[in-house]
Amino acid sequence: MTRVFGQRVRNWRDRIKFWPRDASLRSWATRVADRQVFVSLGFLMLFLIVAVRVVEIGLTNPGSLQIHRDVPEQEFSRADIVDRNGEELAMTVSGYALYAHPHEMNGDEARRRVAIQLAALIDDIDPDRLAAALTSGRKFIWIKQRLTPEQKQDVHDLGEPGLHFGRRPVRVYPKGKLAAHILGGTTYGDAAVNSAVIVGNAGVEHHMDARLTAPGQSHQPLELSIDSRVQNVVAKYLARGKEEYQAQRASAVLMDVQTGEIHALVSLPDFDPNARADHQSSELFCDPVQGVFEFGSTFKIFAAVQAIELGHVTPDSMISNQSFRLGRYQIRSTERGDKMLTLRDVIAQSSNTGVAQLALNIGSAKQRNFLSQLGLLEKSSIEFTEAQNVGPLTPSRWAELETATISYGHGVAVTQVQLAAAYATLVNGGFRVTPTILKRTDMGPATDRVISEETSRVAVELLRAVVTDGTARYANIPEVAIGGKTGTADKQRPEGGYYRDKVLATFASVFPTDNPRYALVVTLDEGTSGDGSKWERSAGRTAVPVATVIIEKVAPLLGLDPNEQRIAARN
Amino acid sequence: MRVKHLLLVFLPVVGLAYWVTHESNKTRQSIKQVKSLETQLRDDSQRLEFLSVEWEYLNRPDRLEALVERYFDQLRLVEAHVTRYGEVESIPFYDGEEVIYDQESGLLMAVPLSPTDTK
Repeated sequence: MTRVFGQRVRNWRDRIKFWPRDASLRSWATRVADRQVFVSLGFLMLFLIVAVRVVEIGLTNPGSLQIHRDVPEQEFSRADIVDRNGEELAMTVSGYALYAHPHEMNGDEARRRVAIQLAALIDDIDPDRLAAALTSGRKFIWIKQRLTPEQKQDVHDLGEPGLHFGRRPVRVYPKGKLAAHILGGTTYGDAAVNSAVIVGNAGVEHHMDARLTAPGQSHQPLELSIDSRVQNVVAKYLARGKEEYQAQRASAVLMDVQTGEIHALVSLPDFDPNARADHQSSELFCDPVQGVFEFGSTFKIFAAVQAIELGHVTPDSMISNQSFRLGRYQIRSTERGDKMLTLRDVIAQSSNTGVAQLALNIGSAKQRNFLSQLGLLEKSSIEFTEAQNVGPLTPSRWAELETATISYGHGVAVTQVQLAAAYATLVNGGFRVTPTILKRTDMGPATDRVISEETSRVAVELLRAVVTDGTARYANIPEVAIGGKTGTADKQRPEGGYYRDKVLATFASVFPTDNPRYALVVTLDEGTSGDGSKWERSAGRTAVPVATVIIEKVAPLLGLDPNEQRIAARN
Repeated sequence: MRVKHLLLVFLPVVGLAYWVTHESNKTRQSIKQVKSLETQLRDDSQRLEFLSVEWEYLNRPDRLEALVERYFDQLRLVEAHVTRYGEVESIPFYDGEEVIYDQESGLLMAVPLSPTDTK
């Protein structure tokens, strides 16, 4: 006995109302009844499946519903580059590339017409070459990798068949030439019709490529230590100085003496990173990190500071200023020809004989060790691809004569950034500084001591004396207490030896001297302030005025307290 | 009796079938909407990219400098310089004017106390 819907039936077959009496009919009816049961069971199964599925969908998180995106996110995921205040320096926008399927065009006549029309819209297209390419029978031709939005619209408005656009990420540098050498440039890596990968090919763009393209970091901009306002002012007044003193090239580095962060780095001539390919290598060359130079007398402070640190002398010690012979080499006294000078005056008047004697006393091994501790004998670790293979030039034989010439800056060639970092180390209390162009956030207390705090204080005093009583008197302004050392180095001839009338004029400065916070190194290549005489070519007449103007303009931007400064400069 | 049973079976089936179709339509609609929203989002973010680049480009230091120079007679702005620090006392504060809050521009504005004061 079974129950179907509450009705008592003997078996399933009883559900058929008109149960045939005829046997053959009855067997047919039986089959029908069986089928009914089978079909209803089937439906029941289906409903159960549907019900389970409905419940399952209802319970799942709507976010897990995968909806196909037609633009892969990665295509445009190169992180921006910003300055220390978050000002944009490099950004990525979506742009378009133009390519052609010539076989979709209507005959060679149309192909030539398209070539002429495109050449009229886009500057750097040669109509003849494009026409030749379009009529060559090829099926696919790249016409231009980067179109501006206006150009894209113009090409679109032509309405010619066979012209297609491919999506392209485009790297733009909205500030133009500002910080061009630091940013470097990019190019396209793998390029397909509808996608392309931007890869850095110079500067930070290249060195930090992995960071800029790292998944998950594309929305986090790379922060540089550069301050674009300061960078702009330094670039502007360096350019003016370069013009005024008719220098071939000019460069400047402004560094925080505590952290080694570079706030401004300028190399002139410069270039527009948006059109890097249009520039010559002389413009792309970044002097402060790529060029190694003998910086001449700016090195004298190193010998003096080391002699003080070793206890050989004090700023008031008297040192002979008389010329002397070393082997077949004559080391000359200063032009004024005083017989004796205090150490302070040796630095202020820039006496070769004075520092040479100090260095010979120190000895070559210790001198070498000290310069190495200041980071002057190692390859620079700055985050520039171009700087990676730039190492200082040191003499193969470092004997007495070399010790003497290196003490006044001939014999060791370093980069401008290394010189700035060495000055920073001398004045920041004596701690080793590692230059960087990336913003530092996790600076622990400095531990790598090179000289004592007291020696560091004396170093600042000596540098200040150069400005108040020495070769850099032009920098003696009442508003900011500047200290520094000039260097007018004869340029090396490529074939060996030195030019008689070509100099590299450098002013390595620190300010404010009561509590040094910044180091600024300005270099003018072959500059002269007047008739080109030796005096007019000296750093005191060229690099010092330029550096002073720069400091006057950037001091308010760097947040130096004017009242403190005035008091400090008076003392 | 039989009709009632049939109804009992089929009505829920029809109901469920209707509900399922309805839901699946709704889902399809939503997916379509999501897609169009995503396209819109992409277009908008692209526009935003362009606008922010343009903003940065228009605010580049050398252009601002040129503008400051060009409108010097109105703005009277000069470059920062160590000799150009001022004292708080030397700032000319408002005098004889009424300060009102302009709702439209959201700015505080100084207006002369009487209309005859205007130049």
